[in-house]
Amino acid sequence: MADKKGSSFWESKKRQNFIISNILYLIAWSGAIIFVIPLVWMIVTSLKTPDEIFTIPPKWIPISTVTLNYDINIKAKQDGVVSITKREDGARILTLGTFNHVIPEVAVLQVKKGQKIQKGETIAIMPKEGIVKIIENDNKTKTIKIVTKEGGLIKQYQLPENIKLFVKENDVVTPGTKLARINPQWQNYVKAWAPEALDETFNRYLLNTIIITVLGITGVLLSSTLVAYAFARFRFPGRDILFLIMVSTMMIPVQVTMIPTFILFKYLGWIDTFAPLIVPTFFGGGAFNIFLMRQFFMTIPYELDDAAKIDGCNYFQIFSIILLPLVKPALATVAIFGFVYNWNDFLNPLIYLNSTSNYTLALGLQTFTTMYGTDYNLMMAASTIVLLPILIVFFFGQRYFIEGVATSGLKG
Amino acid sequence: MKRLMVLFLGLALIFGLLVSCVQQKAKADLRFMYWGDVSEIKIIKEMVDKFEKDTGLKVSAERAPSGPPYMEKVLTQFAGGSAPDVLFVEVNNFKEFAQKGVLEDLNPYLEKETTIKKSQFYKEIIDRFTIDDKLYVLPRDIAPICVVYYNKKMFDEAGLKYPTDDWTWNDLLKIGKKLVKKDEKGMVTRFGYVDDWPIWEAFVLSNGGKIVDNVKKPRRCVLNMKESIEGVQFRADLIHKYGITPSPSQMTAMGGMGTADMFMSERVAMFFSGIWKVPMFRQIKNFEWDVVMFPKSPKDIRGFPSGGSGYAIVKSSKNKEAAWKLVTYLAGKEGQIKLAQTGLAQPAMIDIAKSKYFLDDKPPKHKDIVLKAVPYITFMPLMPEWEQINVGMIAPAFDKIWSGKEKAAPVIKKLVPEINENYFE
Amino acid sequence: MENVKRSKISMSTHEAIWGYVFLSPWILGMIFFVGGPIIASLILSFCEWDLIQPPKFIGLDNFIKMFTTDKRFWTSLYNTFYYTVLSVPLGIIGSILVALLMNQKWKTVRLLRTIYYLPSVTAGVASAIIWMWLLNPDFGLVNYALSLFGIKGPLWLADEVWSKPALIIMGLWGVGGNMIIYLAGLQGIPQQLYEAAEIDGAGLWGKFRHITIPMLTPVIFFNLIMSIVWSFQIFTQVYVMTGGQGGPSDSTLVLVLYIYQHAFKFHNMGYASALAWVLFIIILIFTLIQFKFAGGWVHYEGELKK
Repeated sequence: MADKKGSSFWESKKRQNFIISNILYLIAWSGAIIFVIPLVWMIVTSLKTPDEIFTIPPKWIPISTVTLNYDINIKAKQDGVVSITKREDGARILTLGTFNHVIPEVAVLQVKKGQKIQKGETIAIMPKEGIVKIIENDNKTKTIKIVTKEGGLIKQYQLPENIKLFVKENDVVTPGTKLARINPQWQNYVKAWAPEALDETFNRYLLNTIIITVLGITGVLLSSTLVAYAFARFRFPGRDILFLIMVSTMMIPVQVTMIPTFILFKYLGWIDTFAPLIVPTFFGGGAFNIFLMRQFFMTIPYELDDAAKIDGCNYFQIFSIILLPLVKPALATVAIFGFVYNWNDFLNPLIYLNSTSNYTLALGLQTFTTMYGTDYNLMMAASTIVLLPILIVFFFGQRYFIEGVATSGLKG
Repeated sequence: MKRLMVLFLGLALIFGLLVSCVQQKAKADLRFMYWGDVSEIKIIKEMVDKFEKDTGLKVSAERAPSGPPYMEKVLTQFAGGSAPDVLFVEVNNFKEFAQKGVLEDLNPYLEKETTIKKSQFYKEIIDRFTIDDKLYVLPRDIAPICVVYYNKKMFDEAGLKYPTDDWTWNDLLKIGKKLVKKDEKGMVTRFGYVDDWPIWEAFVLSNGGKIVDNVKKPRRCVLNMKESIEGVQFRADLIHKYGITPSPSQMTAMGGMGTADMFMSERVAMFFSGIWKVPMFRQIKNFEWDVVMFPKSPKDIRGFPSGGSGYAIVKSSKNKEAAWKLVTYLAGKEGQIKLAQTGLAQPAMIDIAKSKYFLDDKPPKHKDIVLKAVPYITFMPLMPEWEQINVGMIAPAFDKIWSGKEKAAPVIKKLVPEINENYFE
Repeated sequence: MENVKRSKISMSTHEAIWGYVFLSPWILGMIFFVGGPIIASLILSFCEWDLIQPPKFIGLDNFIKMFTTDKRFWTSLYNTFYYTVLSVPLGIIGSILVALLMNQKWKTVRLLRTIYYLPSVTAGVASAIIWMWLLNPDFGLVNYALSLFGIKGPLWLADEVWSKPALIIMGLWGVGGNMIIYLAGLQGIPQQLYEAAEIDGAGLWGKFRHITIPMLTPVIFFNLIMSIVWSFQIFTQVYVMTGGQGGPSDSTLVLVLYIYQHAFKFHNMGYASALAWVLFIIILIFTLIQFKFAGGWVHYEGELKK
């Protein structure tokens, strides 16, 4: 290749690739940002107090500031003739026209009964400043009361757990003073992990889930590869029909085989054990995995098998020494699907496990959500907890099934 | 060789696990299935512990998620022949079991019992749980769906007096309209009234209408009577004609889960449901709230649907006497007192409902309305196909009414003959 | 002497025997765990069973009722087809595109892959709630984003017409699940092929069309079949988002949800089984068609024809 001609050709090609690569990078990240928004909302919500969840416009940062807020001059909202009634708690209701003004005990009235008032006139005056009193409640929350020198209540704020106070006891404050900052409620995660009402914490559920998942993946990897090998590399009578039968076992909705399967396991005495969740994985591991592995086995040229046979390998050695290493990405994929399936499986544990000490994470999460119903923040915290291990496994395990696996060495 | 060892390892693992799993199953004398939220679980645990201490028997209390998964699990167990001994049920799902003959008649036990007498319970809930003179469930609570929670702060600001029990639909309309708030663009930021889920039954019943001809032995669906249609239409009008109630698009689709939040985050002034929202609402910090009975119709009639729950014994139980004893602990005086204190439910025992355990000074102040409401309740039809009718025919048809696409009269007039044809003839 | 004896078993018989040996775990599994319940459900489809009392044989009644008087059956069939026809192609194209993007050698690609993958494994309840919030007609992000372009967003899950598109959009959030299968497939394409093509002057599009796609066809085939099978059986998201109702007005009543209603709400496990078997036959027909046509476009490097 003449240098001059070659270099300009390669340069423009390189530049082309460079530009395209960057455009793709941009697209990839734009898409990723859109994809991650719902997850971000999930995490943000898990750190909110119940009040912060449904604000309009939605809050993206789980932090709010509590500011002392009241009008020093209470103004009339309508025209009218003043009538005053006292409320049981000491406040006064000042009615003007159709509007009821709530006048706290500590405010000084500027008008009298029967007076004619115009809209906008001052009808009462609140204390210009107040004293901070902080009360510690039993449930680890605090209440801030702003009071007058005589102890009359000006305003009161209930605070959740995780806060940073900006004022101290007996500070003098005026309207507009920042009283406290509500921080991300990290304790939601503690509450979600160890709900007070349950005997077990998610610790137990985690252990159960790990046992089931690890054994489940083992079973699936062992058996689905063997069976797929049979379908991919052997000729035997009925092979194609059996394959079709296998694939069609996936087509029956689980809702109708659920109960006959339950009866089967009851007959075997396996109810309330992990057996129904684990043993079947050692017997084929599911049509999905067999099908997947079979496809991948079939991407490998048969010549390799032949070569190995000539070298004196038996079928098992062809399987383990030649084929398996070449389908490592597929193996890792099956492993991660198996991991996710067992980790998130809620229906099977629901049916087969009775004692709550045997529950898995997904089932615990489900019962948890129905227990706390509308505590969205706790629910999101629990969901994030369940999601986290998958995230970690996937993020760090990527190199095992996606990157840099040397493939088919046909020519080499 | 290595591969064989791996295989053997795998097999050893299975066996090891199977053995350990089998050992996990502790032998329980009684199995008890229930659902519940945080406060209920605590009570159950306390009563079960007491029972175990007093009798020396071991109870396996199995909590299943509430809602549809509960029935899924229970039915699966029945189908598989491993039903529990004691089962927690409520006024609508108990009939599935009772009418199939798998529940024990509790009358003989109750007659012999010294610690509990039938007369202690509200007769309405006992009656509901009785079919053909057999009592199948010992009631724990009764839940008239008659509670309108309201935000006192909003009423104060609008210059409105708090509603009293003798208010009517027209009052509801007037008040609701006053409490609706819109922003500059005309979008509603605060609604006047919303129900936990479209509780059209309340409007039908208080208008003097009926759903079926006879609740216990329904022979015809009569939703197409004038009063019933008016009731349904009125609720739809709250959305579209008067604009005080959010439309389905403005409520979360998930069976009412969003409507209570609307009340808590001050996006609606009045919220209609049963007493069971009280523990949740007691967490409200930003405003004061109270309750009032669901309004009368202009015809001066009161009527509401009702819930309620209790404990049943399964006929196949091998330990019925012990099961009965457990039931007396759960639904007995002590259990009812604990329940009353949580504010979650109205005890089925009249004395306790009237006592200071329930009528304490925690909010809501006027919680005694649920006691006054009991004479006016009507339960849902007691027939096995009611679920199918409700889910399969009424709900899809009514969706069109709530969305404003159609009026109640034509939809119901078309629907009822279909229901009668398919289920009653 | 022994050599002669050994050769009595022909090569093909030898191969067949070993084939069955490797197949045995699945065969045993079928016999013990899978086959029984499937046959049971077939028998149940000819029965009436409320799960509490013993099943009662009623012959073809379930099927007759299904095809003549059951309106909701046809509704659910329509809904399921609608969902499948739209989401399967979109999903496959989406997964392939994302996988191609995620196959690049950028520094942050691991993080990117995780972001695309996570949605597909988020717990169903949580993701349902998140999407119900996102698709809220008034303050959800989706309609807010649309309003920036001047479009007034529809009522999504509360609207009969838009409820299924809402489900489809939510389903697309999970393309990451299939992305990893395609990534595995992309890994299996030998670099030499690309290098050879480059020498021959092939550009990006050429490489894609003549190497990537053909080498991916086994995976695409798998994904196509699995996607159709799974789309026909969509259940959990609909169940959680509509409270098991399939609303509004049955617009999201998909077939498996309908089956569930009959099994556990209406106490009609027999009818539910009948519905399930009809669904099964439909899926089977679709699958068979695909297998028939597979030879025309799927390329295996190592296929072993009989």
